[in-house]
Amino acid sequence: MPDHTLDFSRLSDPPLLIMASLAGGAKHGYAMMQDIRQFSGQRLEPGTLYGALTRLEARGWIEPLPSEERRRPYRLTAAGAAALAEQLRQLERVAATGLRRLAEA
Amino acid sequence: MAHRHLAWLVRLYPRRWRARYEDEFRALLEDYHASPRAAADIVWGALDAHLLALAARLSSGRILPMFRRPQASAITVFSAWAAFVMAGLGFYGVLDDNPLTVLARSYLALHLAVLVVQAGAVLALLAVAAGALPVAAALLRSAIRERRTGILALLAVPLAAGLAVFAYGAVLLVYSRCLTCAPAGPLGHALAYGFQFVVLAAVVASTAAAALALARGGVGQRTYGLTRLPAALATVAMAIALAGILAWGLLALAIAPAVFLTTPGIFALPTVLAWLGIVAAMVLALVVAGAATTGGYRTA
Repeated sequence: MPDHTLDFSRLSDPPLLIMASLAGGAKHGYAMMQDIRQFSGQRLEPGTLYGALTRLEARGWIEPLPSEERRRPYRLTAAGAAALAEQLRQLERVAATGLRRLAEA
Repeated sequence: MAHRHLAWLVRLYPRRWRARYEDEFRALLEDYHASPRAAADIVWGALDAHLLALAARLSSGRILPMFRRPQASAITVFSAWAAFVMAGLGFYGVLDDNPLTVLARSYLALHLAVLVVQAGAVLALLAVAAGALPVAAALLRSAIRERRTGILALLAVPLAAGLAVFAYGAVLLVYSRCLTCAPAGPLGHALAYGFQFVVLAAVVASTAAAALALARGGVGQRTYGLTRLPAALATVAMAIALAGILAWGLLALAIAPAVFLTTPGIFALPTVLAWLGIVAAMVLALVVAGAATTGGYRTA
């Protein structure tokens, strides 16, 4: 039986999932996890989530907002939005090519 | 698994990371369904955060200045020595039941190389003991005085690990029914292999617990300053032992290349590969110890 849950690493990349989640507005960690689960089916665990948040913040692609009852929301920066748009356009080109070739086969 | 177990694991993250993220991370864990998978992910995340911090230090050239604190220098030399000991145990595993050990009776140079290794190992042990005992005594005193049960629990880990190794050894002895017999049968082989892993785990756990206790304990930098000379001696002794192991391998290659290249050493690896792995691990430990010792001396 074919495995339809095969992990295409780019599509399950935690930083990409987090940035796609924050594209919809600022969120704190748990809200991000729920959102990502909903739109991608991927379940990010806490250590993985914060490992990716640490790197994204260091790169300047996301920024923290003031805490709300110890829960700190994050939002995309302009540089992060530009990097995400470029990544998604690249994925879109790959998806369009793959779909077209499948249809032609 | 309870949330408090997950929350406890946050302590494994680097101090700087915790200063920035701990509060919000703990708040996230309160909302999260605790599971062994989440616990494993947090442990992995902590390791990742340590590696990230180390990479940042390396890229900013802050490694040697870090060792200017006598405490950091002493803890690093101690940990490097423990790693060196583990590699040394691997070397003794290679010598065990190896035809090269029999050949050493006929070839003086091969025998001398092993003696050099033993001399280096004993000297390193004495130097580490000379440096570590005053620090350990000061740490124990301050932990008892300040009732720091966490430190006392960490100091108990090497004792518990030693007892575990002793208990496993006793089981192995009872199973083998004599001191020098190799355990027979599939279960005996499994028990013998298991013993190597138990020893390895005991050394790793003991070193990690001792290093953590030293890092968190209330021993003054002045006491750590007393470890400079023993640390330097231990590093020199490790270099001597490594020179002996290098000489042993090169002599073995010259005297009995077929035996060196094909006879199983440890973990079913040919002697030459086991030797190369041991040398690589020892060189790495020696470089780390050397860097920490040099950094420690720059403060003087």
